[in-house]
Amino acid sequence: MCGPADFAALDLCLVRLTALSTVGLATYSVCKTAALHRRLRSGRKGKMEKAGLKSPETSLVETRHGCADA
Amino acid sequence: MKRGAIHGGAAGACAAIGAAGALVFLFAFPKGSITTLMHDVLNLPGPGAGIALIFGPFLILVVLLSSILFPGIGAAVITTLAFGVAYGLTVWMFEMPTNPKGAFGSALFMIAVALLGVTAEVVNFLGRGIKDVWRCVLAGPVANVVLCAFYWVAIFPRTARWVELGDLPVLFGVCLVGGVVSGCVAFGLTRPLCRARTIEQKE
Repeated sequence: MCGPADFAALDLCLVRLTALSTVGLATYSVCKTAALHRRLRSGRKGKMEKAGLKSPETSLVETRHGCADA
Repeated sequence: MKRGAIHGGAAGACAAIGAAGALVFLFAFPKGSITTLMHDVLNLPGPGAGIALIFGPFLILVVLLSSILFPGIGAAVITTLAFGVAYGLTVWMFEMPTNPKGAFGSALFMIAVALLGVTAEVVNFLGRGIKDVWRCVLAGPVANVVLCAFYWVAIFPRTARWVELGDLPVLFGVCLVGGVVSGCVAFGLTRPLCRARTIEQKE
């Protein structure tokens, strides 16, 4: 009815699906790590501003503006 | 949520997703693998089990991914048409063997995938007021049933044989399950992607 079985093709299919899943998982892990790093960095910046401390980037910008005004 | 017609970069992105989906499908499922899995391993009746459980859900996943990431009228149709064209071109260029039962790359195949795209478009449009998750869960099985029905009526009688009435309940059930699972997976995958895009836009 549906043709002869081809288990070699099925094996190849499973190997390729495993490879694709691995690549997908790896990509997801990298993106997740990058997002987590970004969130930690912005969280640290927020805490410093709350404590009245300036982040290094903010200090640099203010120094530049200060020089420009002067 | 108001949805305008898709255009420009978003349309190009949908076409790219459709084309990439076709290449992934061709790579992941060589000729004979789906038939062997459906009929010799899972002992499902045919013809149509492969369409209901593998091809249909895969195409639905691709279509829903692009229409969630790039909401707009026409996204689903552009994606499916790009899938069909990329599939046909790749098979022709590299002379890749395909299962003649599925009529892959033929005009009837293009009509089938376009029909799936139109169905997904209609469900997305009618369900625009409901949450994404329910829209996906609804679009998946509806689009899969339409695709399978077209195959049973228009393609398989020419390439294989008419499906037996006694096999229809099982195949129909497989259709629905495949569509629902595909819809859920599409929704699950788009959540982190949408979140990442929102964070990038805010930055």
